[in-house]
Amino acid sequence: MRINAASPPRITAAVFILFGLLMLGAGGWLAALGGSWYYLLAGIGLAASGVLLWRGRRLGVRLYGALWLLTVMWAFWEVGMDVWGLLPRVLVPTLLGYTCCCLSFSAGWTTAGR
Amino acid sequence: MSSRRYFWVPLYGVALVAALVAYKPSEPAARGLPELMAGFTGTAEDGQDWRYYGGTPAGDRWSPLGQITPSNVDKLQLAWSFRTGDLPREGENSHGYEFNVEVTPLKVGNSLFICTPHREVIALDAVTGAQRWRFTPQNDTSNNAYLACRGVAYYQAPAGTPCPQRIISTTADARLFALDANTGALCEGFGDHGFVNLRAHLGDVPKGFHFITSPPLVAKGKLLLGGWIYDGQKTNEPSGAVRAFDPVSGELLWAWDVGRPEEAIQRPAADEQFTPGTPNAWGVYTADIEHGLVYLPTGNAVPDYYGAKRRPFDERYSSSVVAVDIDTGAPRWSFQTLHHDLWDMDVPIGPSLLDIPGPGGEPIPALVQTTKRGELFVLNRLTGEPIVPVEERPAPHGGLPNDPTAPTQPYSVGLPSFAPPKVREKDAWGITPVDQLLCRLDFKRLNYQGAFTPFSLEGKTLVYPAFDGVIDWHGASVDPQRQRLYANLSYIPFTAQVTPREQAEADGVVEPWNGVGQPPRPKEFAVNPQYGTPYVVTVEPWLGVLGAPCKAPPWGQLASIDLKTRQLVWQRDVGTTRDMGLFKTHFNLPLSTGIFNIGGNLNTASGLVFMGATADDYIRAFEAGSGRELWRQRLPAGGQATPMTYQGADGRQYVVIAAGGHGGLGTRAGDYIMAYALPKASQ
Repeated sequence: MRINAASPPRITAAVFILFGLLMLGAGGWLAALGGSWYYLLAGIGLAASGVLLWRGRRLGVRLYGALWLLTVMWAFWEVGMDVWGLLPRVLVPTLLGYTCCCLSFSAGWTTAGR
Repeated sequence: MSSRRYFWVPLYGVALVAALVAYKPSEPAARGLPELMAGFTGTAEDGQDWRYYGGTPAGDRWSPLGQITPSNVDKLQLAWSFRTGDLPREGENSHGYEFNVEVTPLKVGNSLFICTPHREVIALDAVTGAQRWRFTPQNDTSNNAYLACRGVAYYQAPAGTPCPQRIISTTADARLFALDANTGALCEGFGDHGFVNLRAHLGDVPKGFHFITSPPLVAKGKLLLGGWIYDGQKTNEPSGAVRAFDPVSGELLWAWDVGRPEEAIQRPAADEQFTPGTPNAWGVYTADIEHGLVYLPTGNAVPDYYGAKRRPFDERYSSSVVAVDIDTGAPRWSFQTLHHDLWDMDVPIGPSLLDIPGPGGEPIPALVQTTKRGELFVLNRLTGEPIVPVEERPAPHGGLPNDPTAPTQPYSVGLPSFAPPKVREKDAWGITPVDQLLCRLDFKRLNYQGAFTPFSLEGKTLVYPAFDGVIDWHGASVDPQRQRLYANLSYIPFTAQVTPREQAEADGVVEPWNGVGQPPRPKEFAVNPQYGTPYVVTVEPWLGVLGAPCKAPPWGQLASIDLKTRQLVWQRDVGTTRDMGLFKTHFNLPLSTGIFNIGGNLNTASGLVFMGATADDYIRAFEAGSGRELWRQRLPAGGQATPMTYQGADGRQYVVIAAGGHGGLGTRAGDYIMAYALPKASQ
């Protein structure tokens, strides 16, 4: 599944890894204090997705897709239809998702993925 | 790699954000007000004038005028505007120190009277907004933590008195003065060539430690005032004594000193000293002239955040509404809204007075006391007995060493409460999952057991509601004919960090002070040095790393309660994040989150509620029966003042609001007075 190794999306991957580790660390602390486990788990998923993207693996995109879906489900579970409650939980993850989508549809990736 | 994503990603992003901006909760369906009950016609005022800060001495902020109605309010347009020329000077609007335009004009005859933060008094033509005169006092404002003037007072002297129509105001360095309402000249016979020194009898008054931000109340031929004492600075601050002056001569008639509370001191001798460190009543007073009672909203005894040194009389009268006999100054009754107040839950404005129907439909003389807590107390205004039951409920235990909290606190159990629900972890907010996560983590680490959590040396405490209130110095408005109440609500949690003095000094947060001379002023207003106590307390809004509030919206609302049925009629979010310079968060997108607000509302017999107040720079009109927004107009600066209305000599009804911003809220500063009316042709 290694795809277009010449140009893996390094910037996106780095952002995912950075924020993934941040969420993993702070989210781990939050969970240890008896708070939500979401951020720890999402941090692991995001960092893993970033590592896969760094290596040029399409699995990274799929993993992010699954993470996004679970995030949206979690967000609705936690705050229901409250738009302002959904904003921090869904907006930026969705924008990152678009980035991922575009990655997977970008020319280099589709060619290499065949 | 394709360049297409550089096109699509931002486009999707913009579309998502645009959808958020477009999102507005649906407006409530139109609904009128109920018919009037027999025997409840409200005041006898014709509505042409607005002679008191709150419209009348009752503080109802209600007008009988009916030219502007729910069906034509959308045609309201700017009739005139006036610029006072008084703007913040260097350093006056930074580091938490505030320049606030909070004035509500008075209208008497054909003039409007206003005061500015630097205490200029200006008379305007009520129809054209043209300046008639201006009085500029010489003020020492060099150590004033904030600059604000909520309004002036009007006094009509007995016939034959020189200076028969008087405008009474105060300087920013605690002097009371009287001006001729027609010319703006000082009334020579008042005090010493027009001025009375309000520092007299107060002992040592360091610079900036005592001034008056609210207009004196004119009632039964007296000027009543207390004044603001610099919160949180030291023990033994200047006395909070409430004083009554002769509006003709400026003579001090009586002083109610909480240290000697049973009777007022009559015509205090020159060497008389009032008790230092007592609770002060800095908000606007209200009065029942017929029954001869003035209602004093008292603050807590300074310093605000440590109560171990408070004396029994301080404890008795802190954070209360106290009814005092206007003639003698003797207290008749008092009602405490919070016991052993360690959170700066001052009662910030006198109650609104109105009659509400008793069980048999007969009018009961009542008052509604709004609080920073968001709890509304409805009392018999002659006896102080609750009309709506008040229940003592257990409160969080604990407290700093030697300063235990009160075991219970009073709750108004028969009326909807505007007190915010207890914050949960999932209420923590942010713009992104990361800053939200950090707020959640912060929440888990904060000392918090709900409202009135005692401060701790172990870590920061979440204070919510906090000193900015749910309802601050502007109170609510009431409709005396229909017994409805309208209140705008603001929801800002704060955190409090307690630091032992030695450590705070070592950290450079406060300077050491030996108790002699002028206490050093903290660099940041957020720091309460509390000299004379073991602790320094820093109180700051609870914000995330991106500067966004750590607590989810709504941040601002408007609500109506029917005081007859004691039911909530409606409650809605008000305001957007547009212009939000709040605590340096300029994200400036108009999201309909409801926004922080300071400044009150006005209601009219025709069924409208007007308010500015919100941190977005708008004035809005709502249908009183439903809360439906009917009109809004952009203001040139923050409208953190209560609007008023009157009828001009030209027969038009004007709605006027000051727009000059609020330093604490971080809204745009300015110097505008804005007047709105229907187009001439449509009348």
